[in-house]
Amino acid sequence: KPEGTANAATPQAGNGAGESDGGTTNNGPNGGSEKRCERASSVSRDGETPKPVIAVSTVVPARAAPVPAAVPEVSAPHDRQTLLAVLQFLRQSNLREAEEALRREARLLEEAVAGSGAPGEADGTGAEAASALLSRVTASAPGPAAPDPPSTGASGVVTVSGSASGTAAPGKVGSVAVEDQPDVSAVLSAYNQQGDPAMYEEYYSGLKHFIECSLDCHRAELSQLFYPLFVHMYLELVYNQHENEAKSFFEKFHGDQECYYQDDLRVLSSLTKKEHMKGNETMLDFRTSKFVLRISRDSYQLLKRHLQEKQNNQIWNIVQEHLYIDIFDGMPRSKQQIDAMVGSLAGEAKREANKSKVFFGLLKEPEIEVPLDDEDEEGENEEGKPKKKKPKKDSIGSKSKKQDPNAPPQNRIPLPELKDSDKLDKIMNMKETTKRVRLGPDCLPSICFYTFLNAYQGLTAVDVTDDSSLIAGGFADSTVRVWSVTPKKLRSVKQAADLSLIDKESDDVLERIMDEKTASELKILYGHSGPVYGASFSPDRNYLLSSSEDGTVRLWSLQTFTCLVGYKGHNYPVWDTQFSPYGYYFVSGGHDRVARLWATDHYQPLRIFAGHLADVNCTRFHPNSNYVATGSADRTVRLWDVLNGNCVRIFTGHKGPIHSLTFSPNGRFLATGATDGRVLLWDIGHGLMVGELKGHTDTVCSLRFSRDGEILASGSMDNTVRLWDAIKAFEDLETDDFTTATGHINLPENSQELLLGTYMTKSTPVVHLHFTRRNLVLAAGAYSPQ
Amino acid sequence: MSEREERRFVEIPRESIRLMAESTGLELSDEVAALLAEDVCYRLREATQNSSQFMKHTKRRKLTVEDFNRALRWSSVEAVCGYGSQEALPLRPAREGELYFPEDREVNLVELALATNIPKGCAETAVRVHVSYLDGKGNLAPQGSVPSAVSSLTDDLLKYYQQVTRAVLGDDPQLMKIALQDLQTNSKIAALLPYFVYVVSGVKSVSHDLEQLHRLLQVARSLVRNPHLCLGPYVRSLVGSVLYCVLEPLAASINPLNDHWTLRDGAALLLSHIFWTHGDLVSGLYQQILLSLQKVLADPVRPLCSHYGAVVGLHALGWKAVERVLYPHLSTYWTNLQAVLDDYSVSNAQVKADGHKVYGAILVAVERLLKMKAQAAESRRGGPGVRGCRRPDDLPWDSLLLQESPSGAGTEPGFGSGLLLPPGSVGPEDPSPSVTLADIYRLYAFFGDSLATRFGTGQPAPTAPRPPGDKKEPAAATDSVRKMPQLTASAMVSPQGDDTRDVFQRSRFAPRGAPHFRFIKFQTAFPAPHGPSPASRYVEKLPMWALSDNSLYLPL
Repeated sequence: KPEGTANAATPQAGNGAGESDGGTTNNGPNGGSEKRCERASSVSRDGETPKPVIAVSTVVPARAAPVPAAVPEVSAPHDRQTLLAVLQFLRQSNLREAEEALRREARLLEEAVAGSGAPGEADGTGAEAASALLSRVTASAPGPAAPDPPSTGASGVVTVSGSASGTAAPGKVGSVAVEDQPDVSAVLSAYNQQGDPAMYEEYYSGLKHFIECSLDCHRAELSQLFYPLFVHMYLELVYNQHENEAKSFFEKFHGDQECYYQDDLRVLSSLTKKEHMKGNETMLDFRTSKFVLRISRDSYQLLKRHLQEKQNNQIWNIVQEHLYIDIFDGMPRSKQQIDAMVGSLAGEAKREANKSKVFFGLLKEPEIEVPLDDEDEEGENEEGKPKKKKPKKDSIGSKSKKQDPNAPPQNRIPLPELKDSDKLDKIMNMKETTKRVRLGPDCLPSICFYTFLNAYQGLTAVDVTDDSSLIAGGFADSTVRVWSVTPKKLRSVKQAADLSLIDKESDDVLERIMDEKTASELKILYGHSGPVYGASFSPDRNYLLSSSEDGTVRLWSLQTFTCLVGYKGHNYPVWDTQFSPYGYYFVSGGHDRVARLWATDHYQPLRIFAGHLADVNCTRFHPNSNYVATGSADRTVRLWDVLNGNCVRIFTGHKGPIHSLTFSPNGRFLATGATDGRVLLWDIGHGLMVGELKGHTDTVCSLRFSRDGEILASGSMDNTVRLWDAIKAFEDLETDDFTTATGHINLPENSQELLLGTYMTKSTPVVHLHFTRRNLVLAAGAYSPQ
Repeated sequence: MSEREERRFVEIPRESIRLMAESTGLELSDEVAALLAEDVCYRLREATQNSSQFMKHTKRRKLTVEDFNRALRWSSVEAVCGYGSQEALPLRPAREGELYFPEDREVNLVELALATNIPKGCAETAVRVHVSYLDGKGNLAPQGSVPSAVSSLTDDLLKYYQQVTRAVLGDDPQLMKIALQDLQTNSKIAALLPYFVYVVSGVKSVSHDLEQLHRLLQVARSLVRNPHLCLGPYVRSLVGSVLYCVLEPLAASINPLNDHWTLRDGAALLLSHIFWTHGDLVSGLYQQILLSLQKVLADPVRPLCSHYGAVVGLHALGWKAVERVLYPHLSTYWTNLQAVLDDYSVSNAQVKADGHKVYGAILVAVERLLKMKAQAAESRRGGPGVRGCRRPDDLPWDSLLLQESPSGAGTEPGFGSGLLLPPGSVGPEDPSPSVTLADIYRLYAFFGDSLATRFGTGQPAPTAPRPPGDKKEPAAATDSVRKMPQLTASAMVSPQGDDTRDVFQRSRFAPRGAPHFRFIKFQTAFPAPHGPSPASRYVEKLPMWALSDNSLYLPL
């Protein structure tokens, strides 16, 4: 039993689906959950279905990770307030059942709700409630299954979650609440203090003067204050309807801000009325989340003393209420060090956010006997061979092959068992591997370019199967098109009537079921009603996922070329989706600012990863399938634990929305690309930025490591493919204890040395990159005339 | 910087707000207008901001109307329709005041909806692969990221361009054929398209050399037919070049020995081909072409060969074009032409010969118009049964053309398919013809017998069966002299009465049931206006008539 049961499912505010599913945690084949699986599944995977982890634990403020030991004192009251606000919202919207359920789970008393937001019941109660709550969940896990007849239990659960999630996507609950409910907005917004608006400029310039006159070593650190203070002071002025003061304040000081905040400033400058603040998500984020600054103790003391001396309460209040100052001991950081890490919408990540352990190692590959004869034998031969039937690999199975010390336990999350066809494919893969080109600075890969002609600027997503036999394109005209790039044409399975005529015992039954008449190079999949922004093949090449503007993710069969399931949940455009490297699970992320983890046979998500402050632009699975990385328009990258839904890493440093992600094949590193054209490299284990690759002049749309991880290829809207020396980039990392502890990094300025080549396309943005099993680069994009 | 920043924002003055309110019948006070204006500006900025997300995910650099509409839709605002066109909307100033409005053309939806000839201007999306860089090595120079100057093309593309142009304009016919064939099928020459279009536009500089003109037209034809090329904005330029060949008094036509007529015929067909296949890429293309043809036709100063071009151009664009432009113009034009034709002086001999060409062309065009009208009238009369088998004449034409095109392919490979097109515009789809059949009768005022004879006689066609009712016509042919203003239509109304001819072997044109066509008015005049009678075949082949001397039945 994975430890997930224990710390899963802390019902948190705004997550209707969460607590309902929490009731039936993953306790294997008990009546209730089994039943639900069946009801939910539209795609059944012939009995091998791994038991899904149903418990969903998520959170609106995701940093309050509900691990009992580590409930941070600070965030507890905040959560509690949010919880109260949501309860109130639910009550006003007449969502009784959801409210009941939430209250029951949170064990909040009626009075507590009535006296909403009473700060008296501070930290102690909150923390206590949280931990009590966890114990309750654990206790109640077998609960619903036992007393209730399974069917009613299941239907009850479904209703609750349905009504709650029907209201709004969880990520949006906050904003909806603020728009409609004055009292909720009072809870959430804190711009009530009234200073003299005329003094704001003075306060700010006073602080500016102080920082500019401080010692060099402190100046860089304290300068971090400018931006958040500027924004909050401006918003305060706007909120309190001092329009003219706000304007002149903006005029006077917006030039001081770092250039990478330009986009935010543009949004800000257009916002001049209190009414505009409603429903403006960017502003909401500024108010509801604390901007995180990392400052050394010395600098902080300096600041504190200055503000107290000057009696500068206005600024002090903002610092207290809206900023989170992460104080560290030791030398102040240099300007360069700071610049590398800042730039995200909500400041840097707190240090403790990146402290939890991440199992970044790879899972042990099942042992499959590779036929030793080197000749290319027929597929039938292999099929006939008795394969070593591995007994279910259990946790003790680390005898023959060395287990990666950083790898998660093999069954940390349940994975589908290998089918015979998967094993065949693995054998093929291994054979190809022996023929793989070893790449390096002296041996660069060849690049093949797949050009989509006549796409009329409509190509929005591309994926290539692992064996490079199929290529799929998502288009702005809502279609998904699948091409075979080998001479083997695409064929559908015959109609049911014809299938019944086939001799099922014959050896070539798999061949016979295919309808020769349907053979063609291209199949078009119709079903979406908006541009298709993401596409992903399943590892076994039987399925294709596509995500679209219409808010759905669709699962297509590549046997019949029809749509099997439409996964609804995002309700807003879904920007990206990807299959797990082991199949069965997939992740999607969209405009609703959450990423969701799904299993193909469940129509509802298994996990909701909430915490990003803006759209989730791209989603990728870790090679060991235990983690999911998401890149967002809030300029952060987050790593989520699939097991418990916690956010385990927050990477800041990008200066623009992130549009591409990729893990290194060994699972240790992550590369991310953003609209600013920079590619950043991250060490997952230590939670540190380890490299910066500058060169592209436009959005980096695609990133991919070579099969052995020696080379990183990046494709961009600037119509180039660039190859980078990954080995060298990761060679001598500064991962000593000090760096790890403080998170201070010194990045070498070596992009030019790492750049191995720049390859121009013919006026074609590079949408997708792929390394074949023999390390040939396949790039894809649509020709776009000027 | 701040100022620039400010200027990048939309600012809607309160006057505009007030005007908009007035247009919906509201009176706004200054204060309200100012407030509204500010809010509208903010909302616009917000929507723009949101729409950029859609642009980014579509991997484009250009924000489209579509993106903006999506942003609006997701913020629960109705999308703004009617601005999806690729082209910029022309703003027109109103007569008084500083008021501008987008030009809003009326589109006949019925015509669009019932159109059976859906232009297939967009080629199918396809994936092509090629090895760009072998072992990381390759041409590291920029590969034509901006195809605006020759220098930015890759070496291989440049070489290809040179080879092809040299081959097309060179002496080796074999090489030329290969080059043209490749232009028609090559999928990788998109970057070269502007250059080839430029080459084609060279027609204006070689108007003295018929041979070159022919070749350039063939380059244009190959480009148009290449399924991998998206002509887009270049359609206009191509049409311009082709129109030049159709209409201009080419230097080559000074020498009467030069057969510039063929060139014009070919160009006219290519024109119609471009229009039908790519016309949807450029809005208002049809109007433009018609306008330029009309202008030429209406200009008496232009030489007759230009007029000839205009007429064949109209004919190639379909009978509706003829009806719209040529028909109303005929009476005035006729007098001029007649003057030419009646001048028997020696000095006029050449002009007169040209005049006869024009006369022949007009005759053919009008004849076709007449036939279509008759047919339309007939099918309307025929009721649903006949309607069901729409365009009774298309099928035979098509099949005939398909059979024939290979034979003619040697010299004029493009013509077969060009002919497929005009029928598309024809027949019962047109619910209310603007000119009634009775009006068309007036045409007989101009053509008299000759029209009748042309319908009747045709060529002795060994392959096609002669319709049974054809017998008496040759007699009429004998006296087919140019009888211009003969006002007697009566001459043609002849005895057959209501002989309902099931003229020919319909079985050849399979599944059309058993429609019966009754020609009550024109029966005698058109023994076989529908079906593969030699006459109609001849008519369809017509624009090529100048190829063979005996093919044109001209009363000279």
